[in-house]
Amino acid sequence: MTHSTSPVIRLEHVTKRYGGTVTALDDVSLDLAAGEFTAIMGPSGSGKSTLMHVAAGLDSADQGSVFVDRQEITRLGDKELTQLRRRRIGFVFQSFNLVPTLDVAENVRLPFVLDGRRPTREEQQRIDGLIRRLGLADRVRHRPSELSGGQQQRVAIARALATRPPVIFADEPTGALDTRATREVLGILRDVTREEGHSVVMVTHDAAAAAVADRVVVLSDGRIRDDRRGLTADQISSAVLALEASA
Amino acid sequence: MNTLREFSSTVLVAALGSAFGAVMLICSSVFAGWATASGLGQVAEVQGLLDFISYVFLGLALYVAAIVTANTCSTVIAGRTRVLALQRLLGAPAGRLRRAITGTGLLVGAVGALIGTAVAAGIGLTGVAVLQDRGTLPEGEYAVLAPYLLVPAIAVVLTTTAAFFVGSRRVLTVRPLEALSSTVEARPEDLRGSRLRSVTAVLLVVVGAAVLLLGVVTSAGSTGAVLVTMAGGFLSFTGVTVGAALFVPPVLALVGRIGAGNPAVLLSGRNALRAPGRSSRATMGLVIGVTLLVTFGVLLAMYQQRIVPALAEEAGVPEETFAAITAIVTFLSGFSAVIAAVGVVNALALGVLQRRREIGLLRAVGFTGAQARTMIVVEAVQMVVTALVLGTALGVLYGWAGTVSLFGGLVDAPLTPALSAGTVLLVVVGGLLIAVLASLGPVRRVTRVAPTEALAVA
Repeated sequence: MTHSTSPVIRLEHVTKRYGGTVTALDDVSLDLAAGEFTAIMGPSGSGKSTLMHVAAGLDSADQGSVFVDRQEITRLGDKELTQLRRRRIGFVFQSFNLVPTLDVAENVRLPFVLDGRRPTREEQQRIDGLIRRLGLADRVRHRPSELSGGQQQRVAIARALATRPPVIFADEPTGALDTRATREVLGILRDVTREEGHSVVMVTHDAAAAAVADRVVVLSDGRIRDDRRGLTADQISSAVLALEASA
Repeated sequence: MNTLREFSSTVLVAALGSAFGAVMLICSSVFAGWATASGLGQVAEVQGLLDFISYVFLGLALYVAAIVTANTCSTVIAGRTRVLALQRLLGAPAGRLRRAITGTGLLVGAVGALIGTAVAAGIGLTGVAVLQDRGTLPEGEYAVLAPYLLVPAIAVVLTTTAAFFVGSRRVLTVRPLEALSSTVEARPEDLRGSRLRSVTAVLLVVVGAAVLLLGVVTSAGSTGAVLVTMAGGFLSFTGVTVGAALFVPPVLALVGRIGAGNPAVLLSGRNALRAPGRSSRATMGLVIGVTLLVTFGVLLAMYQQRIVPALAEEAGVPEETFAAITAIVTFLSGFSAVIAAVGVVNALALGVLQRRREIGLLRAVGFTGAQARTMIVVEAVQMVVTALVLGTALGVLYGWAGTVSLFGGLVDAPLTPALSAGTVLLVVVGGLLIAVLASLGPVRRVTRVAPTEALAVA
């Protein structure tokens, strides 16, 4: 793991157990470079979701340290963690990404509203630009229930990018989408983040989705088994399949 | 048994209703026993009047209870849409699903009535024993455990079953395909309601208001004016209840705007309007309670502050008797508000239960635990404030109209409404107490929602 820039996410010997017996993460150390698109892969129960929860301040590590944007978060209280998520992390989930009672514009502005402030003029311009760019300009007054799955994911991406967080976590962002919407959402995620210099950490079990990433980290039984760059979808598939066969 | 737990608050509503009715009838019967033992005359007439008053207030309480129960039932069903859709998909006829839910209502009503009647009988037996022991009641026949106890019990079973039947109407509209749909949010509630309902509501309000006005205007010349006014009040209030979904949401929306710059308050306000019909009905239960309390409060206050001074030479009711009457009337009219409070608790608790993922999502993207708690408390406060505004406005109108129709002929000066500080205090403090108590449980539950719940796939 050699990177010229300082990592946006750093895990040092992180261990996480559930109920004292299940080890979801077993002494994992990982650096994720700024501006890089990383896919976290692995079979069910491999610990990939736990890795994301711990790295994003959604759950705490039992041992080891986690750094987000050079800040140690392991010992932060709930309030500080919430503030960190609000200001420095963007989230895109598999489904149910949006608050059903808020319209598209309000959902995109949500991180600012939760922070108790209005977006500045510059930030608002950026939000408007994102909304246009993601093809949502004629949808700003619509409620999530009036949008297709792909459109909902685009709104979630706009919200995740709105505050310009250094890192965006995406948990199976295409899991509930059809092929066309999947390709569209992945393309947007990759292009926008590349242009704006965001880091993306995407948890997925879909090799085709992982193929858009710069780097693929494969987990199994709570440990990192593979960590490579520039793989094709086929190569990723066989790597994951090999792991599942041996498990 | 699981079903009973899910509807435990509905069992409570049924128990409260039947206990309330049974206690009133026991009091009436004990009073008759006391009057007989003391050798007073006209016992049957007085008991008949007391029973009549008991049935009127029991009817009001059961009406509120039915609204609360039907609302809880439809909320639970809304949360079960997917399971019901799956059952429909696998071939269960909608009618049978609905009958099963109505059957649950019968069970819930029976269990509640049993508990309520038992509690009331216990209170009655203990009360009579204590009063006889202290010598307040003379030796005599006091019928506590008598067949009349069956009346409120049966009424509760019937209204609860009927409320479940009405509340489960939505089962008929669940489409089997909803089991397969990937959208988590249920399709939005039909806001328009039926046109017939709206027309009926507006018609009732307009005609009722006109009749009410007629009663007020003719009060100077006729002693029967109060009956006209009462008819007007009853008609217009039925209109308000029927059209709750028409009248309550605008007030909820207005109240929801207060302080909406705060994200927690903004989300509470939006949430109250997510299922406008449901929030309207939950609020309406409280409106009925507040209206009753304020109507009688205004009647009593105007009698004491406006009528008695104007008729100085004729002695009014003695102070002590007046205080006793006030206390009894307040208890009788306020009991509906207690039942309605259970409805507010239900609306909030089920709201949190059915929104766990949404709350998890909010927590993930930066809603603090404190903000989530604020959101729930504010939801309760918004409902209570809306009910206070509507109920007070209606109560002052009805109380004023009633007093003018009763006494307008005796007093020359125009009568203005009056309200005692006690009533205002009771309504405001009681309302806020309801809001705080109603949000205690749901607040505890919302704190336990982890941000990771937003990521759950199911």
